[in-house]
Amino acid sequence: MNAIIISAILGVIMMFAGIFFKKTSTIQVTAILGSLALLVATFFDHQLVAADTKTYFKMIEVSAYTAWFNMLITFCTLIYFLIFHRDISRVGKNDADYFALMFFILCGVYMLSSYSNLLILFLGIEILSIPQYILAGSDKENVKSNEASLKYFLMGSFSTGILLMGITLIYGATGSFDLYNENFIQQFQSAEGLNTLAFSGILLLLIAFAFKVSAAPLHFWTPDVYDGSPTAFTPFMATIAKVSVFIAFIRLFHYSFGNISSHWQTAIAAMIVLTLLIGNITAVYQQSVKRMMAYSSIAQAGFMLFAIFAFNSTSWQGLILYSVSYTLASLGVFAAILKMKDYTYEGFNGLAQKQPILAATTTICVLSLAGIPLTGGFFAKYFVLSAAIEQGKWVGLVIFAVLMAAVSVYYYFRLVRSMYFQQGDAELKYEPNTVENTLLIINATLVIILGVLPSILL
Amino acid sequence: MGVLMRRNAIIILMCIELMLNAVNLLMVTFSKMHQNSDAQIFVFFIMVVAAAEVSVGLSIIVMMYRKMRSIDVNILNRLKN
Repeated sequence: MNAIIISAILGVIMMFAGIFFKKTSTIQVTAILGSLALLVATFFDHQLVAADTKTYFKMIEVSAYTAWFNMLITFCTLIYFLIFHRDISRVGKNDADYFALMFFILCGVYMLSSYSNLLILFLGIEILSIPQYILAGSDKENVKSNEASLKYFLMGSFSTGILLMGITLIYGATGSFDLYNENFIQQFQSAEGLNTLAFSGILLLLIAFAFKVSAAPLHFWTPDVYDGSPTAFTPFMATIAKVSVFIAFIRLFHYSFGNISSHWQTAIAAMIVLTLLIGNITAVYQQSVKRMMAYSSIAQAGFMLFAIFAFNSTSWQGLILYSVSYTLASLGVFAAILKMKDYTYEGFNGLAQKQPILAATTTICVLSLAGIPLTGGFFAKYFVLSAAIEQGKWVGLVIFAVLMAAVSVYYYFRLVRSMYFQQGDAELKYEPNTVENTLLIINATLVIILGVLPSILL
Repeated sequence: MGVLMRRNAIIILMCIELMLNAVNLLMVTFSKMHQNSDAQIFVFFIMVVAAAEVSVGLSIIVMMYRKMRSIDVNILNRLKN
């Protein structure tokens, strides 16, 4: 609850910091201290929440799960700021504004993880999206960045229109936006009594969410946007912003539409198959590592969709574990991409001789993304898939997912191969200093700790 | 439909606004139908957010025009391999 207010205030403070502080290092320190303050705020929220609390005219509901998710996502943001703060400042002149926009995105994240009213869902998605359009286009001199921004904006606002239409139709069927209203609950009580209006509303909401998490038939914007935006912002957009939409997704579809799961489960199953297939198969053919990571983020979204698909408590635990391990691992890989002059596979040739630490941390993160045991990615995949098995009927889908994970090992290991076994001189754009190396080691250690003791997150 | 067919970025933007206005109209209608005013408040929120979105969108289009001298979305294929 406090976190929503504090993150918005911090965004404003960062904008003023851009006026008053002339030195970039001061601005960076302010941003890092700000995210630290936010971490403390979410920690207090977590401590204070005894039972489910509703505030702000019953529009926000904070449960222990939500508060824990907020705290973890703020922790990931802190790590992101620590690793990337110098790269964020290198993007352009207005570095304070970039930090400010990221705090506003965090405000949207907190709203998405704790809404109990469709109005807050809509506002949260918009507060999350609009700063992302700006961040995608923040490298003004680069045509690719402009293009990514325009594409993201047109597609994103189109999906907003679809989301709003879904909300309106559900309102038309129930007469309320409140998820805990009697009429609302009664409408979605059983599969037989479902009104056509409400059903089309759910379908439109499903399309809008699938768009925001880049699930398959609606994934086409993802590779272009993630490839075009400045590399310093891509990890933020691909991880922290994306996993929070998953939390909103699972809240709405499990809490409110859970009783009528037979209506939407088949659609999600089809989406999972398409997402895994397109994401993994296209990633195999990429030459650029950044574009490969964009396709792999589509594939990872396919695995996270399993948490929405399976309808039990394991899927909630799996989603939180998957979010954190995917975020940390992606941050590690993108940190390496940022340092390289040429981010194709050839550009990584022989990195292990030149920068052994950078190569080692990247390898650990890549292994986690592929889901190799002893890294966080393994248990994350294990949890979401076992949630689907507990479901019973859809074992074939799980086998398909495991096969696709095997395909993903190919392109992840291609990166490891070019770092360790190919000869070449990997040219670096920026030499990593000791502090950055230490942070990357800490990040990789966290990934391994998650792989050994996943229960610390549950 | 306009969003999918048209090639001019500003016209696409206008079509998106049209979609949002359709939602507003439907909201007010349902609000009258159910005899409660929640949806009318929601309409104000949609208006505010739409205004914010347009201001961001138009500035992105201006940035694009300065660089490319065109706002045709067909030339946006530089990112494809």
